Amino acid sequence: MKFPSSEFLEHLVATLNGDAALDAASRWSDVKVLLRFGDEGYWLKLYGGKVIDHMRYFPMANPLGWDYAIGAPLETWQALREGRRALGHLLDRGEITVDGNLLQANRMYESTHLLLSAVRDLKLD
Amino acid sequence: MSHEIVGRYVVVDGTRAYYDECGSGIPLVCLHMGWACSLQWQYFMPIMAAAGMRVIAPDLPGHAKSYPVNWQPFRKMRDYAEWVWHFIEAVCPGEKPVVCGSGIGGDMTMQLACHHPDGIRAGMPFESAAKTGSISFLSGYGDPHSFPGFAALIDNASTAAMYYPCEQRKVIESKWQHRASYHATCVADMDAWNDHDVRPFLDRIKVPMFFYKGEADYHIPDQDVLDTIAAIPNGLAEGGIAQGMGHLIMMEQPEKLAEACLGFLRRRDILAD
Repeated sequence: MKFPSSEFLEHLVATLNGDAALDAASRWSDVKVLLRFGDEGYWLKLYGGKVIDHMRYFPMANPLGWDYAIGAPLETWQALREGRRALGHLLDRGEITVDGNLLQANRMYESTHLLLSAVRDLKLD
Repeated sequence: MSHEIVGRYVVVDGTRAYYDECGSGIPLVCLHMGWACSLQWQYFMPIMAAAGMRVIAPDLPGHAKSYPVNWQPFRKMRDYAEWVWHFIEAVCPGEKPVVCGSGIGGDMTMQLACHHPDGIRAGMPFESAAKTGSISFLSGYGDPHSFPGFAALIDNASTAAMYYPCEQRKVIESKWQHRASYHATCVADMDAWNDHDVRPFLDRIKVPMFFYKGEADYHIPDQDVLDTIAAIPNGLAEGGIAQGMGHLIMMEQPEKLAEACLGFLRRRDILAD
């Protein structure tokens, strides 16, 4: 399995939907989240504590759009996944950016932390 | 003689708990309201200490400087009260304290009177009755993401039932007393408040009880307090509706509250005249 890839997204969604902490932290969610891994985009629909839909995202690929986007250059994601950089540090310094509807994004802060922790920890083999 | 309030810690049920202490004599344990902390009693404590009491005010588990037991807030009033019972055993070993409390603290006072009737000397529940409940819509909002404006709700709901007009400094200080507890604890406090019902156990009460409820406190119907007083057997209960006061009775009128409490304790021969 390659990072990033559609296969990675499938495993990520399965991991997220098995995470009780994410379920609690997003019980009252109804948001569309765009993950930007470098030039590649992946779209998630987070509703009621679960990811209920997902797709590879291209500009204009999804008429529903997205509420907030979480993105960084691919090198930053690699540094996170290889343990060379701490998630909190990357978020706090704005090296991983959150943009869009920040009222929604800030409300869902804990779920973003859990989502990115899963991105960090998901193994490729 | 000045009566300084001193802060202390004790381990109860495996968790580190904070309490304020003031004076010496018969122990008086003061239990704060939901969402609040021991600071609520700071004006009441020295007055009671001057009358010859050792006044003790804990931060209940999950509030301010006390950790929750097993990292989970209490949701049942009986569980809360049992923690208070163990707190009393730890800080007043071998002694029977007078217990007072307001709001959820008043509910705990009633629980102790019903379930540990030989363990306390008297009870003084304020803003409480045999059964309580209000703000009943919060149960599903325990996680912070579910209620982004929760801090504003606490600011307003904690002070809306004071008696107005009220000095602005008292309103502002009261808001700060409700800003040190975690969101989930506050929601659980309301679950416990709505869970409280000791009506089947009132005939177990063996000690004098003094009920006091501010007239402006809309969280409890006056009649519920009066019915509770009437239902406690053997003339053990007295009290009623406090004019010119509201839900934050110990902050709004600490001197008048203390005067009423001391009158009760002297009438019942718990304190000497």
